[in-house]
Amino acid sequence: MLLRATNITKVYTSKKGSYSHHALDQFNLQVEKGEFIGIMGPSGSGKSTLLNILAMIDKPSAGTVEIDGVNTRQLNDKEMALFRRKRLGFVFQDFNLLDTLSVKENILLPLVLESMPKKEMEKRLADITEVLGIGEILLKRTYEISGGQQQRTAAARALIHNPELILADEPTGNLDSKAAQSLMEALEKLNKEQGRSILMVTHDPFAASYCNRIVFIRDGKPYTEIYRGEKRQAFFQKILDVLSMLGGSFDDISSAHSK
Amino acid sequence: MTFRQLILSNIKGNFQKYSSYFLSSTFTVFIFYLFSAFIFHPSVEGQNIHEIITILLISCEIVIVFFTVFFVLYSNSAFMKSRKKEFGLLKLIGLENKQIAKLVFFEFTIISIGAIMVGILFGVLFSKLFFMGINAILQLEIPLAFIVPLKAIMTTIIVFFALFEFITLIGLKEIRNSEIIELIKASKKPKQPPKYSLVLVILGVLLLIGGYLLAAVSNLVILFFSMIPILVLVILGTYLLFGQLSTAVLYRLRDSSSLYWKKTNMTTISMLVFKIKDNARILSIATILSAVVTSSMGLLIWFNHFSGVAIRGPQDLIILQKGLDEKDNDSYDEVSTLAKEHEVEIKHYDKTVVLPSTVTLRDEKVSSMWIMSESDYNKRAKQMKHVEPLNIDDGKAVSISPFDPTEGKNYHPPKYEEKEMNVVIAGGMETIEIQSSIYEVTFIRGQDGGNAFLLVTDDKIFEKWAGVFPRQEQLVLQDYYFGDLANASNLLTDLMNQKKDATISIYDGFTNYLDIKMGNNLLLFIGLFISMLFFLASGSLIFFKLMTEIDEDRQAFSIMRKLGMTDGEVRRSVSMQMGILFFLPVVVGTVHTLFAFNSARVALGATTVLNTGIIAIGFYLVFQFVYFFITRAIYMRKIVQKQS
Repeated sequence: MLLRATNITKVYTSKKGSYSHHALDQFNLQVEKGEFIGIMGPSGSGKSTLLNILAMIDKPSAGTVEIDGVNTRQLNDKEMALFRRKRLGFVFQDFNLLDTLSVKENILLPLVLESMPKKEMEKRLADITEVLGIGEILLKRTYEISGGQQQRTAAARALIHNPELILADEPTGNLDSKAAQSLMEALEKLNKEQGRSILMVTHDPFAASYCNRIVFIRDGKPYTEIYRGEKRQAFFQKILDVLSMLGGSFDDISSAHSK
Repeated sequence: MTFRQLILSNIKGNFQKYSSYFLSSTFTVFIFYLFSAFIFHPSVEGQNIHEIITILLISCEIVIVFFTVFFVLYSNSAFMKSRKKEFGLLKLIGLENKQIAKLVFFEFTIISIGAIMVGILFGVLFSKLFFMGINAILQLEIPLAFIVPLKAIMTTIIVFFALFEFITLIGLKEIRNSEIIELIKASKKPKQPPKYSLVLVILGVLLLIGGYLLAAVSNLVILFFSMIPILVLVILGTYLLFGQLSTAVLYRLRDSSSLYWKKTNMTTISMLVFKIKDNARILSIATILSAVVTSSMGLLIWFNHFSGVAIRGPQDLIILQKGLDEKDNDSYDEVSTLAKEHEVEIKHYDKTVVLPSTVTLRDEKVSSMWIMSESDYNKRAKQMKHVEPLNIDDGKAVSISPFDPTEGKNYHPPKYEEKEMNVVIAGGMETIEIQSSIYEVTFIRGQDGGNAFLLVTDDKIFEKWAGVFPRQEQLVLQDYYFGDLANASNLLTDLMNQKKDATISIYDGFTNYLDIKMGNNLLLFIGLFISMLFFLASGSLIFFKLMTEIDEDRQAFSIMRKLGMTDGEVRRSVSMQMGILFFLPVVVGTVHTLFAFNSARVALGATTVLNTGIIAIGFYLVFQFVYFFITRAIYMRKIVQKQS
């Protein structure tokens, strides 16, 4: 078991305490090694909160998260930061690349923080950029490359230190459909060929159709779970069916993406 | 929400950004008020105060005004730029240009009024202390009392209000000249990585070296003409140093150093590349300001120290009596009685007999010369810190020209250069071998008789000559060395009155010194305020610039923290960047200052300026550290603030 989240609850209370909101309510989630799992749900369902808690950016009000046998609650701030950078990889909707660094420097950042020998860095860089097809743009600045290239750069950064788990937050949110497709294909390949474990939160049924399993979440509670069969097309259809049952506003995909 | 509430909440929201600007403006007003309070003080007009002091203070006021124009203009434009996005938003929701301009104008007006009020308030509170300082230095007959001159307050208010408002109005055109889309995108536009040109790097280095070399070889005369070129070379060189050389060095560090690929170095260096280049102008200004402050304060401190050694004395009082048998021959009792009365300590008293004669120098000019025995000379030398005792061979003499040894080095005033000297003794001519010829000041200078050349002979010869010298022609020198000089002037006045009719000459070695020291102390005192102003300004310019661009930093560090950079690493990286921005100017400024000290050493003979200059540099560094720690704490809190 790679990740085990037990009874996670997150309560937001207004300043005066007159109003409180359960973003997550006793949520349970288990991820096996090598899984490519998607989390879907309408706006406000708590999926971003869940990801932030799993990423240790946010703390749960109650419940425990165990990653690879480590109870994240028992880590102090520094240990948490070190855990994040050694054992987790992140892909964000808005890429979060540093524009003072080149593409190569951005990708290497996690290794540089660990002061890894330069040779080893270069070797890993060559491997990962080949898979993601960004070998040509390494010396460019982040604003000189397209959105798709930026997101693949971010993916390379998330992978370069061989983390146990990759957490992706709406990775296709800022991409056009073609770039989104090639990113998802790259992630699928990484999952299948290298056995990387990926947990992705998304709005996008198309992106979600690349996962092995999708957990639907609604009002802070698990709603249902579906598994992918052989055909991705069929899985995509299944996702749409669940979404229409789930209700809620998915039309805000477009508005959320065009910020 | 009314318009007024919008203004107020805007100021509240922006106060941290405003704070350093507010602090510096307040301090400027504060100093301006202090100086005007002196200029307009009613008891200043009524009494004998050197006009030069008032002129000095008025010039300081003018410097402050110019300085304020520059400082506010700069801060204002930096501020406007950092808020473009906010203005864009206001335009988007339908505010007219006029309304936004009004908003900004009122905001700045409130800050200005606040700065003026607080500045004057502190000025009034501290003017008591300021007057006490002035009183202590000038020793005024009617000490300046604590008064709040209305004229001073009015002047301060009018000058600064006009200044602040005028500059704000200039800054407003930024709003009118921009489109919404530009305004919104303004801060999102990523910056191009800075470039440098090898030619400019080399030019910068050459300019600096040129300026330094020119300064190093200039003596006082050349310095008079080379001063401006040196300043231009060094200022341009400094600018290129920050704009070009720093980028080149950091890139080199990136491309060819394994250090770059370790820990937070990569992000720190790559952020610094942008920061130093973007702030090249500010950093060079801070450098120049720090160099101006440390070099001028160092020189003033040196001069204060130097005048105590070189302008004072060597003796504080000499009474010269002609004839060995006159009744005034021993004035010691009289002087010591007066000294007791005026509470002046006589630290030492010497009585020496000299033989008056003349010497003919190489330009045929005849100067008066005194002849003294070796043992008398050495006895006197012991009292004068800078004078070395002599060791004269039998039958020989040493000729001493009455100039400071360092003066002699530069101007070569007359020195007796023959191997032998013919001396007229009691009508007869004696020839004596000259062992050596040196420069040394052993009498109070500048008064007639005090500039006599000196011939120090070995004791036997002196005895022989004195034996035949008419007793009524011989001179008796009485040297007095005092302790504290506070009441010495009164003693001198009384002595002069008592001895009006006597056949003696009185030389004093402290009146000039006290005058010069007073002027110098005043300069130091006023310089201290101007220095503080410059110091605060240079620090706050840097801090202000940092604060206006803090959003980019916060975003960058927020990303790095998400990726797993620990808080300690974030702190280290921020400290490193801020440290370099704060201390690089001081380091470069210190190098400038050291060269300035070297020039002072060469041109002014300020041999000890380095020792005293270190004090000025040290103080500047300490203050800079304090400023750094305070601003770093503020900045850090903003960076580490809870993430979104």
